[in-house]
Amino acid sequence: MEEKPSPDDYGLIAPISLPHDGQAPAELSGPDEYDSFFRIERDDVTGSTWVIQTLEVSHKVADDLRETSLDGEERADLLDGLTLLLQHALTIATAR
Amino acid sequence: MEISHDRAVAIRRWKLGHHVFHLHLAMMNTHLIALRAALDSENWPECLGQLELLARLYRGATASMRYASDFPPAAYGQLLRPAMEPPWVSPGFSGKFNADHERMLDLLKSVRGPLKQAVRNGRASDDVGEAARQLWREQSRNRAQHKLICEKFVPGGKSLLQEYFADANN
Repeated sequence: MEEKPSPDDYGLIAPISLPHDGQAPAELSGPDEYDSFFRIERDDVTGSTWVIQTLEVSHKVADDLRETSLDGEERADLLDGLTLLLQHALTIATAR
Repeated sequence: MEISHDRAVAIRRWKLGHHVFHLHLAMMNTHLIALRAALDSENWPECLGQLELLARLYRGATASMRYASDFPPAAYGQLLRPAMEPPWVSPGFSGKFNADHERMLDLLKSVRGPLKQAVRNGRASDDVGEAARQLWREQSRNRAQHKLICEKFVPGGKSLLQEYFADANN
């Protein structure tokens, strides 16, 4: 069966394929390796997954904070950021 | 396999700190989209709230990278930097491949012009202008902190990506 020409270019143009990350294949690192190194998995993240990981990550950092050399202002900034993350997580959790 | 306490701390903070950084970035991207929508509809109270929240998140993100880098430079040079080089990863590994950060910078750039214009022509109030300036200041602080971290771990040196292109051009 003869292939129908596409309505916009009458089959004059053949398609090309491009990678999802917009990078030409090469022996050069990229976003996938960055994510893999830092143990970041890209997926459809549900609200409950987001809440659980926010709690876990916040807990680990807060537990370790006393052992760090961060000064008072840096600790306050980090804890304020964690507070915003946790408020957002709580909003998701209570809306369910 | 046994690992020393110092090395375990370095690995944990470097990667856990990046996890916290990414959680901040994801939140910032959500709020930057909300800010853009508020700007388009000229909802200035909403803009002000989003700008204030974004400045706090940016400050938290900067502090999370300070936490991520809180270990001796020797552990970076002997343990983490080699793990970010071949054969463990491809050449040119770089923080530039942090897709969430690149998206955040693009979104931030997209609101900068419209915000400046709205403040300049008086459509947005002075407090919106001041909140916007505070957000740009947090961006400057973040860049300065990033330079300090680079200098701490690779004094006067090149990033792995810069090294890759320097080698490729020779």
